Amino acid sequence: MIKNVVPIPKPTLVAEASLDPIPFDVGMALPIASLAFPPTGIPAVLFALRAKAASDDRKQMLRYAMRSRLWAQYSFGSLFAVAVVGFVVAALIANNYAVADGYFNWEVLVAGFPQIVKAFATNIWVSVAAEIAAVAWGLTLAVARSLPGRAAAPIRLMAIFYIDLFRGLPSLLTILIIGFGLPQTGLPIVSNLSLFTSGALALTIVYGAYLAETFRAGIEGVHWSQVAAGRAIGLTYFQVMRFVVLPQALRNVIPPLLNWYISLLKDTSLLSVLGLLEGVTTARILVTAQSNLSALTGVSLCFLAVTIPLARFTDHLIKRNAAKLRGVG
Amino acid sequence: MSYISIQNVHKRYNATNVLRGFTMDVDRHEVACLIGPSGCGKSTMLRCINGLESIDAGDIRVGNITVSEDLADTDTLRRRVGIVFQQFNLFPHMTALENVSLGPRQVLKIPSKEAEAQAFTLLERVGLADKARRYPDALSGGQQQRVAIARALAMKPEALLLDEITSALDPELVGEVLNIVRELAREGMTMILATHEMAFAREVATRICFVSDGVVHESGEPHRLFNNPEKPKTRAFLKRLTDARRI
Repeated sequence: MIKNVVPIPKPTLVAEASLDPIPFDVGMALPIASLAFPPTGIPAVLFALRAKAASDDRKQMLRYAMRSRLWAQYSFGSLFAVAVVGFVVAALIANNYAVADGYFNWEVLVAGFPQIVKAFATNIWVSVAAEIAAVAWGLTLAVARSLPGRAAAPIRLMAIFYIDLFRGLPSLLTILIIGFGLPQTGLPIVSNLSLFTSGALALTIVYGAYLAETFRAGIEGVHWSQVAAGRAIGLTYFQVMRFVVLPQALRNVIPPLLNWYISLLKDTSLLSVLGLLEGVTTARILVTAQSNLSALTGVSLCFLAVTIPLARFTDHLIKRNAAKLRGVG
Repeated sequence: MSYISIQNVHKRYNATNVLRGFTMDVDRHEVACLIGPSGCGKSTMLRCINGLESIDAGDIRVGNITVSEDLADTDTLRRRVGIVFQQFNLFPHMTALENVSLGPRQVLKIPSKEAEAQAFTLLERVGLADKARRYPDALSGGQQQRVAIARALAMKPEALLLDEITSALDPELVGEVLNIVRELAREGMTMILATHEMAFAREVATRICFVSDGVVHESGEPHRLFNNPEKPKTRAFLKRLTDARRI
């Protein structure tokens, strides 16, 4: 005998439930507030009014209400941007254009610019020389660190020690040690390096360590079965590295490599401590001579002209790689 | 004297004993099929034979090269014994032709032109002459595996190890790969196959080895082993396959 039979409630079908329209009220508060930025605030209010007028046609009302909300949102976004720009402009014109004049004086900027560009060429050349050397050096370190077997342990340990050391030191310190230290050793060749060469050498030493870690990640990213396949056809360990692993590893590390180049280029400005006449040093000399900071803006523009396109290009490569991976998987 | 001799081989990964006294002899022109449940040690054994894995105890000899010695001449060994993997493992940054000609060029030091001509002939033989310039990701699984077989054959091996070469393939692509193996068997290539394709094993093998828990549990001619398995474990394994309609 079943006692106390609980009546099972009749299930409410979703379709049935949604027949009952959700109460919807066209609010006016947001559109009116968005009038603070009139170009988009006005359409927001107009659509809100039309929505109210179309209250008997629910579909139409919703359509207008949505548009009103969209315009109101544009308003708030624009308002925020205007506020930020306004703040910057205010800072520039404050104190009788003191900031604008100090940093963005057109005449001063134009007067010093050719000299800055010429000096900035040094930054480019140092960074290119250091990058090429650091890629070779970093690759060597990465391969040394990935050597297999017990016999290679001392080599691996040395590579690890080197990498840890120069990743752990501030670049500026390494530059000082190399730039001021080598001439004092009195050794042939290394004590007579030009500022350009010792600067590039210091950056190579630092970035070789960074790039070694990037390359190692790339090498380890190649599946071990590729090594097995290479060994299986009789290739030696180094032949597998050269023909199978490194070509795949390098392809994968191009984006981080470009990022490190951007970083390296910026760090060439540190070479000013050695007295190398690069862009930033030249700009500082101009700042003193012109009693105006616009030269700093000039050299900033030089850096950005290279770094921003490179950063965009790197992002593009990363996106393309990601798309490729999705396509395969 | 047998060509490949495996005596009492032991191999462990950390806590797991994968091989526990594996013993098998393979003569020239023999086709030995290793069958058995997944994880029984078939693949590991194949990888040990051409020195891709080290062994902990026992002896493996191929021709006159002893693999188990520390100073084994693995490079010469691998030139004699080719291996084809379950996952093909083609080099993705090289075309089919480059995949096949890399070994001959770099290991056998054959001039590029000649190596490419030979590679092309091999690709023709596996029916892929028209795909020679394609990269692996533009080929189907079956085509990739055929390129992988051509790559192993390019080293002119005396024996071939085939490690479940059809397991990663869609069913309709299995046939094209097995046809090539069938032909190699007919030409007298010495082969050891690890496989789950029982019908195929029965057809091409000169001997079937049922592997269980890292040892050859029972071996014999295909007809005898499939129809009259002597040991209960072998019988149980074959019965499971029959029930699953794999035979």
